[in-house]
Amino acid sequence: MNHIKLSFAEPAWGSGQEIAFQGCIICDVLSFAIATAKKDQIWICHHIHPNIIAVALLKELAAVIIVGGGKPDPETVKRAEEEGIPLFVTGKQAYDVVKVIAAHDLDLAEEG
Amino acid sequence: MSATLCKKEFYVQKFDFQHAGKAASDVRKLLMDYGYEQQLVRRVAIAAYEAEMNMVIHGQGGTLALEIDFEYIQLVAEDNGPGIPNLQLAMQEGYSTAGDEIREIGFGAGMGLPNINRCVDFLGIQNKPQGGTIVTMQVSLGAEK
Repeated sequence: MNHIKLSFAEPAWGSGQEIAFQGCIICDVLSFAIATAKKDQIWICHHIHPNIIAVALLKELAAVIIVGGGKPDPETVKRAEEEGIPLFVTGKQAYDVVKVIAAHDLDLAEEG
Repeated sequence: MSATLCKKEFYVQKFDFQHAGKAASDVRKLLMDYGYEQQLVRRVAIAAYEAEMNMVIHGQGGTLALEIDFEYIQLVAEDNGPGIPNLQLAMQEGYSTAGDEIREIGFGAGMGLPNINRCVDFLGIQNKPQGGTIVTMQVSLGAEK
């Protein structure tokens, strides 16, 4: 398992916890995320509605990062906290976020 | 011998995206409380979620019924919508009748029924003569998919 402190993003609830993760998925099509996301991945998306938490929960994802400056609905934050899903928000674009995550992904380093 | 261990019904409202996913989440929690294996819970929960979203988006709302038996876990989604005119197309990945507004929020990718099909051991879709669709999904207990 890899670890990252998402200091470039604001936690939507709680304090900036360290995330244990394995890989990452970048996707705005919810059913595609359901079909392809793997347990413990960090999910990068632009959606702000509460359904992203339902998907994160179903797939047991490590965290959700809303990129591009979108502000989550209050219900999204409430549900994330209730379900214990780490939810982060950043004005950065997906590519810049992925670069930081990839630098902490030891599995990628092994793949060369 | 077949015997029902648990029966529960969840109500799903049309176009209620704020609460959409709640029924699937409740199904997941219930199965976890029963102590079913993680992978099995995930399969049933995904099928429940996609069926729930179909009822929210296309089905004018409806009910999702969960039934646990000794041999299988069954979900029946019965909606109030127009029915599915072409089942073959609906099962095709990428085919969707959802409008732009639905697609903008990440739904309507035409992967709902194919996702369900991947997760369950039995999938039956029936159009009711008076309108509406009944989607029956079963996951066998003890079998791996």
